[in-house]
Amino acid sequence: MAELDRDLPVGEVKTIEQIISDSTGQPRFRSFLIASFAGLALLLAAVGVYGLISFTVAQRIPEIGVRLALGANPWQVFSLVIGQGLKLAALGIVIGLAVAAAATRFMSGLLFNTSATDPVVYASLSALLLTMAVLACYVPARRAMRVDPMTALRSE
Amino acid sequence: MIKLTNIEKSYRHGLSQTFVLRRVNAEIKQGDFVSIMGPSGAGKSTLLHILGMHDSAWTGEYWLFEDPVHQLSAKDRMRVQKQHIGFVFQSYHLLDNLTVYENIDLPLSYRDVKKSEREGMVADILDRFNIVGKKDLFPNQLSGGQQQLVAIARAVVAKPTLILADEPTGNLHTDQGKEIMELFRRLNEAGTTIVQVTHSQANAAYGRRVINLKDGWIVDEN
Repeated sequence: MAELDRDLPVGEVKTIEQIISDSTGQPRFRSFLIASFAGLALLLAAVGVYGLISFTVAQRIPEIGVRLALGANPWQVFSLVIGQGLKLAALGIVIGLAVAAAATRFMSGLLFNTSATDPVVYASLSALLLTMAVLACYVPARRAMRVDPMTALRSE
Repeated sequence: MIKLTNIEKSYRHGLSQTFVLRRVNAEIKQGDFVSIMGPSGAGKSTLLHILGMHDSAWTGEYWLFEDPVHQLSAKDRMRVQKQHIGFVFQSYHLLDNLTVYENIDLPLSYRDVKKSEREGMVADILDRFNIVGKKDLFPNQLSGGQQQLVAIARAVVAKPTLILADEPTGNLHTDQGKEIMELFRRLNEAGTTIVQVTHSQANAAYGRRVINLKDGWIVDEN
């Protein structure tokens, strides 16, 4: 620039990396925010499922005691609790998928280089949610396995 | 059929120990109808739950047929329990969210019985107990007597050799109680061994033997 005109003021000297960063900064920040909120929502969903299943297990202790007294083994009780959590999660996923499918028109404008109806994204997120639900149900289910039928039957 | 030797159960409270059952020795023969009686806190229900293998925190020897229950693992106890024992509770303990049919099917669902076979067994019991018309009702749609009838149907559906009943008429009207006791009498006549806990002399009269407990000790047996 100085060779061309030494009096020409040169402002905003930037490397090409800085220019790219400036142009993608805003969308990158938006993506970060959305991902953070999605992560938080996932965590809240897991805590919610854990709380709900824990509460249900506590409510169902007499029933679990009766089932054990009638011949259920602890693993059958474990499956009962995990099954209940998975049913709940599956219902939530179906509703979530329907809402996501309905929102594709609004979302497609915000997406770059990916489709709003990408089946891999839908499938992997569903699998992630189911895994989270199983993990959230695990502790209450283990607790249900350890119910003492004697105590449970007498608690009613 | 049952042999109990020096059965003891106790709870520790710090340094002290409270005994619920003390040196209980008893024998029950197949086809017997035994009533366990005694005041509240005598250990009647505790003894019944030990016989029913719901309680495993006790000492002594308990033989059921050829099985040394006191030496069995939890898994083997469950196998023996499922093979031989049906349990009837004072407060019925039917599952409120299941229909009469599903409640009766429940013990079979925890045994290795095929679904088609289970359907036949439940249908047979519903018929024997005259409750076919109630199979789709939920427990809260039944009277106390009907609920206990369903609970007994549930206890016998897997064809146990031994029925343990914990004050089976305790929550029932006298007439309903009589019907239930008549049912036990018929089951006993058909070969099922019955051990019941009761406060009622009238109910005990349905049995052949009475074991009296007091403060955890057997004080009288006749």
